[in-house]
Amino acid sequence: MSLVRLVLIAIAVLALGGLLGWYYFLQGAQQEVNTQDASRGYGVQAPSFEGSAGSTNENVASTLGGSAVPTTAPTSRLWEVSQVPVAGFGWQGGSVPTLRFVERSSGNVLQATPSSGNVVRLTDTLRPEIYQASVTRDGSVLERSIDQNGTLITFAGVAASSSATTATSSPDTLLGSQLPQNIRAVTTDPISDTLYFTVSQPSDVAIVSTNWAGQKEKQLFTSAITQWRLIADGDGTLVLFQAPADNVQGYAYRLQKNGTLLLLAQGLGLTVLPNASSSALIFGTSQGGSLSLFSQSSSSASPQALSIQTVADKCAWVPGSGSIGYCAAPKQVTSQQFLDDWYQGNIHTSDTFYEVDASEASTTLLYDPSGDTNASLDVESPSIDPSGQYLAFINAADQSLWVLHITQ
Amino acid sequence: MSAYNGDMLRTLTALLCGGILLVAFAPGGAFWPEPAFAQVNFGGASALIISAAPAHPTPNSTVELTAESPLLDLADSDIEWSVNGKSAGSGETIRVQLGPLGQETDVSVSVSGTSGSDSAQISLVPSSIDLLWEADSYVPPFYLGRALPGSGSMIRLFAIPHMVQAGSEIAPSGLQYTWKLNGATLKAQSGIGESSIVVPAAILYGSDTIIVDVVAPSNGLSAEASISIRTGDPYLALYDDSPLFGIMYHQSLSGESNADESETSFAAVPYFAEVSTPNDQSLAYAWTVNGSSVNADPKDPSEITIDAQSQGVAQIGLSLSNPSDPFFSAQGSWQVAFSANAADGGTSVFH
Repeated sequence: MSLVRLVLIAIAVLALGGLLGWYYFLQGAQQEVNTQDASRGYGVQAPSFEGSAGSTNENVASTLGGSAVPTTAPTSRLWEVSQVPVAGFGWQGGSVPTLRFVERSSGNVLQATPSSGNVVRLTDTLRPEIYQASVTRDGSVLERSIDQNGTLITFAGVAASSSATTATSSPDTLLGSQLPQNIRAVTTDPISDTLYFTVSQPSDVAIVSTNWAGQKEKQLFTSAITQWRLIADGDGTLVLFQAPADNVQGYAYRLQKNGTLLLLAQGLGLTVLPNASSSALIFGTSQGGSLSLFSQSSSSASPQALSIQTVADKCAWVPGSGSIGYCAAPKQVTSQQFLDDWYQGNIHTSDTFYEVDASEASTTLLYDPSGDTNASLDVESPSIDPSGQYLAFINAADQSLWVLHITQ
Repeated sequence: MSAYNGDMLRTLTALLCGGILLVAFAPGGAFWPEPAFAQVNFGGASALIISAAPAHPTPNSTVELTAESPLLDLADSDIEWSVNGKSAGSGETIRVQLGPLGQETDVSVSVSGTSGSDSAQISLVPSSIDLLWEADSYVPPFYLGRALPGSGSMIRLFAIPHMVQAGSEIAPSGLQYTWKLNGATLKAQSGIGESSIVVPAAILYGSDTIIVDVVAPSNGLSAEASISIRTGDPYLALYDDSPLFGIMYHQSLSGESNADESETSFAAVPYFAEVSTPNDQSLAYAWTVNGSSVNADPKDPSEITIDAQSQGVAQIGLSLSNPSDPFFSAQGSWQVAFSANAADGGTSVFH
């Protein structure tokens, strides 16, 4: 009996020893995994935003030891809202002009108030590498990116709550839906809940309209030409014109409700800007290394050549005005194929701002930024707030966002 | 009405010679063959021929009309013109200002002299065609410009005719389209409602001339448009591919650029190449850095990453070819200075 007991005790001791060894083996292995995880950065808190706005702009500025808004004098009519690239922006309605913009790196939506210089982050939904974005007057956001397979992704969203207006408010989630893949051209009606975009079909392209959720799709037009640029200026109609190239004939049309096209303008290297409040038009041509800009006070009037050399892409109408707009004109055009070089990022300009009166076919110098900033401002996507006080634009040279106080 | 009414005049011909439309009128209004350019309508019997240049007048344009006759001695005759019932001058040729799209202008001419007398009328109805085109060559996403034809490209053309009947434009789907490529009719791609075609681009540095004739079967109105399209070289551009912002399409690298980081990725974009993606299998990328060949990721051959380790200058070279297309070739060379902070001079690749 004692022998049996001894054997049982020995087995129990061996079992306990084995379990103890297994425990220490597992603990050691776990420590090794933890060490490896730590070295890979797992478990480390995500870096918090440095500034009150929580923007990549302030983060980059603080990392580099600079200021978020260092490039203009305090008395300047210019405000560099974001030094880091933005994907797009849009003015908001309301009594105080506010500007919402989308950071290219994060897809976050921020709101800037030019009168106070205040910037607030509205959303914290990470959507990296947003190449193109727009914000409508009601705060709806369109963000466009490219996935790893090269597919074009278009996301239409709204902030869960658009009420965040102070630095202490919590950013919201950007909620929305993904539109069909590989949309080549898209535009948003700045006022209504309408999207217009192209849908590729086997032998042609269709231009359709949907609501912001991508629903209620309505086919408006089909064509064998696929490279359209679309402009919805807020009057419920759609203007489409061919993607321009220097010395190449282009056509611009207004799509009428019956599906037919009304020719607005034609010309070599054609760029156009329709007016939401009238049938006035600004259009530019690029031919033989020369830029020409024209205004048309109404659809029945003859185009008049303006005295500045620029493209319609650098112009914006004053909201509610049927004939007044502002254009940025390069101080010097060195390229013989300006449009191609500009669109490809081969050249950038240093611009001066002019007021354009289409009813008089006149231009007046508005502002030369060289006195207020050392930066060369290559104006892209200009837009004027509903009150007509501010002009926002992207500097095409670095995709930074700027606001010009129009009235002194 | 005519001093030469007879069988030999019981014909009507519409001849297009060097862009000049020649129209003769038959007695009694019968005519043969069907007029090819029916913006000129026939008003009655005549030995006179009225030629119009251009043959297809466009809205608000000026058209030159010339009286011609194989039988009358016009040089020794009095020739009087009227436009819309009003006297418009004398002589063998007049210039007439046309109205907007679809507005009819009636012109008549009368001739009297020792060789005889005669008269003729025509109606000019201006029409037009917008002839749109684009190539299917590669441009990067979100590119705002037009894709231009390169070697091997296909060109899409789309005709938008503007022809008015009874005050409203005729539906394009009901019109007869005749497409011609360098003078040869493309019968298979022509027909009723055939408003678009796809044709191969000319060989490198060559050009194609495409003409479209549009006729309204209902009333014979016609219009014509032509375009000459040249095939050019592809263009190779290099961009910084930022881990934070993506490919910086707004700022191509110039001949000399600076990089703020010692390790940087660069993306090549073959503008106007006949591919759907820069990483198309048909393209062969040959990268060099400081004269030495560098192998790119086979799955992503349009990009390379350079880890300069420290400050220094890299001379990046790229030769792009298509083994199946001997005409396709593009080269580029860029000098990039790597440093912790971009030095003055050159263009920073980080913007």
